[in-house]
This record gives sequence, structure tokens and C-alpha cells, in this order.
Amino acid sequence: MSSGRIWFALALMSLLAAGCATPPVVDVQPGERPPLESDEAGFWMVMDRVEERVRTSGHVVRDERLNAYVRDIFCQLTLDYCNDIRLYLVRSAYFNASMMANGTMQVWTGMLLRTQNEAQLAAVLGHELTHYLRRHTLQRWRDIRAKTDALIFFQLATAVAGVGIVGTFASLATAGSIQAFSRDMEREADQLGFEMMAKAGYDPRETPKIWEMMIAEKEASNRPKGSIFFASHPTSQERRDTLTKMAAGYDSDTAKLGRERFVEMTARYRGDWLRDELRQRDFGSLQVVLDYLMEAGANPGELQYFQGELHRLRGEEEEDDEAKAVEAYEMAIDTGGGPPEAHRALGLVYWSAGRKDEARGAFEAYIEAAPEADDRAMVEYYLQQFE
Amino acid sequence: MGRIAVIAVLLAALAACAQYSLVEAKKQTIGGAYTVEAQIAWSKRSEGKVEIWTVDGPALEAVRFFKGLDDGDPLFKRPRGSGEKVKYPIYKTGMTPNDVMELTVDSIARAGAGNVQASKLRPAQFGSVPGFRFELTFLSKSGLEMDGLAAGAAIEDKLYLILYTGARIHYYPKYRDHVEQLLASIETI
Repeated sequence: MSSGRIWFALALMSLLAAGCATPPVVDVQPGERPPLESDEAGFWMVMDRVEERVRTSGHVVRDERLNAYVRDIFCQLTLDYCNDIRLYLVRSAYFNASMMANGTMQVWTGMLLRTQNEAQLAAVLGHELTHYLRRHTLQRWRDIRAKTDALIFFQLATAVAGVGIVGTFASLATAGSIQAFSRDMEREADQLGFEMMAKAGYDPRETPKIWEMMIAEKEASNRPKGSIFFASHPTSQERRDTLTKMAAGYDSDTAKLGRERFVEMTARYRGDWLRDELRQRDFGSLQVVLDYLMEAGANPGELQYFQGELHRLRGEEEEDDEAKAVEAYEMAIDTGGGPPEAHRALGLVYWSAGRKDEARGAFEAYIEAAPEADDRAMVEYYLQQFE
Repeated sequence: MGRIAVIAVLLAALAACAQYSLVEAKKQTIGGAYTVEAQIAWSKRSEGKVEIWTVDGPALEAVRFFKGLDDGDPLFKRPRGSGEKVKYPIYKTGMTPNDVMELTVDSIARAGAGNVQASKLRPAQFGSVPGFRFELTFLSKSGLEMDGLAAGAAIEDKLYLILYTGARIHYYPKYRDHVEQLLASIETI
């Protein structure tokens, strides 16, 4: 391959890169829908169809009380756009929230489980609202279209020039460039979300804590970790550090946390959400979540029960899991506030360890604590096996 | 040479398709461990240690016969791309009925279902062997409301489980009586 041809390819790529910059966008105005003749209107139409599927999905949480609560926090951030956003709570493990171009916001219950107070939730909701206001989905779509169009042209030109290999490298560069653009939008959403929650009177020092937790969870998790080159979001470390610097400039002594109300409003669902996490069997990640919930002041009896469940299910992986499970279940029972299933789980661990007398005691305690339990006949059958 | 290549490609494509065969309405042997009396004709396909019977398609309704899972076997195939380090629910010898119910629920959840709930775990004979039964509700990956029931037993340290699932509207109730008759007809060999 001659150096002249490579210089030609690089010059061509520079020209195309300069030419594929997307035009600036204006923020969405309250009540706005894009004009019918625009490409954005077509985009909204597709999103409307997606939203219809979301709206009718069984995965959406219908509980009016919880929906009204989250919506109330959202509307404190923005009265102007309160009616433009449809907020859907989606029952799903792991931390996630998303915004579609047409104002469809999805908040996963795994995210609600991981936020410690209203201030943290407000930061996430403000982040998602920014994606809508700044037309981020549309910007990203236009960016992808412009860059991939340019890439195809470039690949043809380099193939004709006999340096097709350069086109292959350009594909990688384009993929990286598209994701870099996406990361810039995430940075903007972090910043504006931060400003919105601070303006609404929430404590901005809470925002970096979300990412603090995400870092701890990712490090402890056994899920595969991706490369930053192809990541659509900045690293949690970068987000935490940026938000920490921003929070340092705020006088937030009088700012609100909304911790007690948040813990109270989410209490009745927390057991179900923790069960969703437990089923992922990502024990390192779950341990971080349990520690953070303990710190947030959630029901300690319930948390100890799930701590026991973590050790029981992890089993074998660590030598002292069985002893730790017993300890956690006993704490759940002694502390109070844990579910009656703590007795049954304790009985199963004892039984598995051959400690029949203790297993019998735990199963009897379960039947006493939950006489109407729908698996009572099964537990009574277990008791018969000890006779 | 060209024709042979085309035929080879077609054969490979056909081999990749799920192969169904007819289950006649008569006594059927499952995994060499027990028999059931089929009251209606079903379509059947096999995936390793699992035999799947359906009439309208497995997305709408299916009976899954897990034919003797050994220690370390999962109920369903591990999803692609989940990473080897991600723990996946597996059967372990000596599991109690509560453990098997938990294994079933977690496996269905890990296959993409939402809000999986199990209830009414109770002792129930599995042919001549002491076994258990329980009920299920969940949302399919696409959000469709599903119901299910399961019956099982450990025979010589292997797990034999029959899992019936179907869309709550129409399909689950449509074949439930037939499945109940299947369960009532189990004869362990």
C-alpha cells in the first residue's frame, strides 16, 4: 500500500468527518409536537408505537400510589413539562431509566430500589428529562445517519483507490465516534439534571452518591464488563467525580433529602424488588445493594432476611455461607420486621446441614408465624420426616 | 458441485429448525422412568433432557417434561452472552420441594419472564413416588400474562418435573384438564 494512497484516504476521511457534523438543535417547547413534514415527526410516530407496547405491557407497575409519588417528584423539577412526559414504572431488576424522543420515560424498579432518597431519584428523573428537552434521541439518530452515510461513501472510495483496509478501520472509528457523541449527551444530561434537582430544593450532594454505588456494584458484580470505546455512557467514575465537583460549589445546608418519605413510600414494594435482584444470582452486586439500603434506613429485619437468602443461595461458593445464612435469618427474626419465611428458610438451612432438631423448631415456628401460609401442608410433610 | 453445495446448505438449514413429531392419544413413556396416558394428540420436540409437548405452539401453551435432571443440570439452556461467571440456577441432588420450586421460578425469571410468583406448594404423589406440586403466575418476555403448574419428584437422585405453562387468556385453561389427566395417569416404571 503506497503512502500516497493512505494520505488520500486520511484526507478524504477528514473532509467527511467535517461534513457530517449534525446541525444545532433547539430545546423542545412545552406542549410541542414536531411539524408533520419533519423527519422528527416520523421518528415520534415510531416512538408512539413503541410507547403503545410499553403502555399495555404487563411489566408496567400499575400501583397508583407509587406512580403518583414518583410523578410528584418529577413534576417538582418541571411544572412546564409535567404533562408532556408519560412516566412508566417498569418491574425489572438492575439500575436503569430511559427517555424516548416522544416523552415516554421508563423507570425500572431496580433503579428505585437503589436510590436512597428523593434527592437521588430527582437527579435521575432530571437526567432523563434533559434527554427529552435537548432532543438527544433525535440528535443521536441524525449523528448515526450522517456518520454511517459518510462511512459507506468513504469505504467505496478507499476500495476504488485500492486501500480497502483503511475502510475497515474507518468502521471501527465511526462506531467509536457515534458512542463518543452519545457519551457527550449523557454528560449534558448529568449536568442539567443536577441543576434541575438543585433548583427544586433537593440536596445536590446526593447526586455523586448514585455513581458511588454504581462503581461499588460494578466492581462487586460478576456480570461481564464492556469496553469504554464502545460504551454509550461515560464511566461511573467520571460521572461521580464531575458531579462531586459541581456539588462542591453549592451551599446546600437547607436542601432537602426526602429520605424518610422515600423509604416509607417504597417499603411495601422493596421485598418484591429485592427478590427480583436475588433471582439474578449476582451476589456481589446484591451485597452492595443490601449495604446501601441498610445505610438508607430501610427495614433491617427484611434486609437481614435477604442477607440470609443471599448466603443460602450462594452456598458452596464460600465456606462460611451456611453459618452466615443462619446468623442473618436469626437476626431477621430477632429484629422483627422480617417476613415469616425467615423461619422456613432457617429450617431449610438447618435441615440441609443435618441439624434436624433445630430444623423442626424453625419449621414449627414458621407454621406458628404464618398459620395461613399456602405451603403449610409441605412444611407439615417435612416435619413428618423427622418423626 | 454447485448443486451439492446448495443441497448441503438446505439440509443444514432444515436441521437447525425445531423438529416436531406426533404424540398419539395413548400411553407414552417419559424418559424411561414413568408413563402417562395422553388423552389428546400433541406435537412433541426434544431439547436435551427436556421433552416439550404443545398443541398451539410453546409461546401459547406447553407441557415440559424434564426427564431426570442430574446434579448440576439447569432447567433451561443458559442464555447466550450471559458470561460464564454469571451464576445460573441449577439442580442439586437432595433439593427439597421448596428448593425445586425456587429453581423453577428463578429459571423462568432468568429466561426473561417477569414477576414470577409461585404458590400452593404441597405434597402430591408422582405415580407411586412421594412428590410435590405447585402453581405459577408470570409475565412472558413480551408482557403476556401466563399461568402454570408443576409436578415433580426426585427418583434415584434425578429430578423428574412436569411443567405446564400457558397464556392466562384461553390457552392455559383450554388444556388444563388434559394436563391434570396426564398427571393423574403417571405410573412410575
